[in-house]
Amino acid sequence: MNAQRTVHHASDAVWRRYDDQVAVISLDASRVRLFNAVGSFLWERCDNATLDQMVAAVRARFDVDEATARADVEGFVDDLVARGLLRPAAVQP
Amino acid sequence: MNGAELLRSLALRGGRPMGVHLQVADRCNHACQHCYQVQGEKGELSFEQLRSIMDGIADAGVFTLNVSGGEATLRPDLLDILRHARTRGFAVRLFTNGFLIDEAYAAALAAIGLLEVHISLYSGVAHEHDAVTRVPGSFARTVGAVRALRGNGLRVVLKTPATTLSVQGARTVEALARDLGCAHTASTDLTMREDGADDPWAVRVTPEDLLREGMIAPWQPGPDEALAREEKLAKYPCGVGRSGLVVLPDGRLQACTDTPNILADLTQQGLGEALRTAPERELFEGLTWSRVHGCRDCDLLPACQRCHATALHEGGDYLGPYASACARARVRYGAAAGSLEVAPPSADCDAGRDPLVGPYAIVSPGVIRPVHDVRTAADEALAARFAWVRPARPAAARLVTIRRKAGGAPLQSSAVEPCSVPTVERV
Ligand code: SF4
Ligand code: SF4
Repeated sequence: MNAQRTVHHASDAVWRRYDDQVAVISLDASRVRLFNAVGSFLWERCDNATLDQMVAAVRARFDVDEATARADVEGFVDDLVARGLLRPAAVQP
Repeated sequence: MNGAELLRSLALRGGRPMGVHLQVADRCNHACQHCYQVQGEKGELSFEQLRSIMDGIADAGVFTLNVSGGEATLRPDLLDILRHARTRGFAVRLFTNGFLIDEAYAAALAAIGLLEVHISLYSGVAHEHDAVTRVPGSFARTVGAVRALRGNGLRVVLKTPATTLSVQGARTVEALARDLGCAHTASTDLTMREDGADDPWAVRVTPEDLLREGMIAPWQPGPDEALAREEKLAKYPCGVGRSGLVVLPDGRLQACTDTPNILADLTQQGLGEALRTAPERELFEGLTWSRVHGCRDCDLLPACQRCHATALHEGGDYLGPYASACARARVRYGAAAGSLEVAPPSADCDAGRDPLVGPYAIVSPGVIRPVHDVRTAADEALAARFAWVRPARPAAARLVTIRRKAGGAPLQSSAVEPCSVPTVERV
């Protein structure tokens, strides 16, 4: 994904935080996804955020180098986009 | 652990219910005899009041919101209510009889985005369904609604409570559900009406008929009965006060649809504060089978299923044995044993006790004997602290929390929410 492109939570993704974990269900897929602490942190920061912003947020919170953080964030976003829980924002003309 | 169980356990670990049942309408367009509700006297809240209550429920971290009535679709602002619920991030279920749902309404519901629509259907045979609802033509309208909802991509759960008017209803609806692409759940329990009247029980199916219809199964002690008992004692018979909170149409909060105890008035305080301050929370959080005197010592415990509210209505003790649960457990055991004999109660049983009600000891295969119902000091302290648990007045009068005219919605009382969220993925 382009580092400047924003994603947002899918409108049919329903989620709640339980202590240090976020649980998300999609009204379509009927599955519960339970994120670990880093995934939960990211989920709460990826609505209307760019990849660069997410990487910066992860690096500010966790002790991780730029390359690792970027790879992890990209993997997280790609996976959730593929599952329909995150949607890329429409490209501005 | 499936998805529903996971969400429930996460929520309960955090001291909050996973779901809340919000009754938005105090009226219905059906007249089912088995309905536990009495309508037309509680009154209904405005959209603004409901919005504020939903905000409080969302702030308390509740995941699922079941929106029901009465018949919720009788409210002209129902779509606005559902939209607000979605805005506040709930997974929303709509409980309805479907009578008013046409193609356009189904499309509007689909656009809002619902987790499921739950519809009561009493039989796959039109005249049998209509006999229960007492509304001619209701079967055709309801099935039409199901088709419209399915056509718009919504998940539909058909629910069939057993009544004498449609004893084979579950079987016929199950087949119809398959054809329509719906999930199906059947239930075997009817609770008393909320004003204490026992009209619903006039159509209650006997345990013998439930057995014949395959809705309950024979039971006999297994090879590791001690372990089975131990596991059951640690379980909660239902989700009352934990996962099944109910907001009545006037905003009062109950622990479940049938437990006649008001925990709070949500027009005056938010759910989070209500849960922090209601003393009954302590009662409900510990309400496993081990808290139920008599039952915890009964040899038929593993065969038994109970509703505390029915125990209160029937036997006057929310936390004690009661006749209809005992009857069902006896039938299950008798069916497996080949025959059943109830020996005279042991000498230490209370003189005034119904001689057929447990707890029982199995004295030999197929022979059970009612034995002493041991109540501990802790049981007595609980009953003294929460007087409604074992009130002193006669059963029919003491249970009236709300008096209503006859009529009601075909909603099953269940605090254990059916949830078709089956899969868990840990990321
Ligand atoms: S006493 Fe009756 S209600 Fe209690 S466990 Fe035994 S059979 Fe069930
Ligand atoms: S079984 Fe249902 S109605 Fe009965 S007490 Fe439990 S939650 Fe309430």
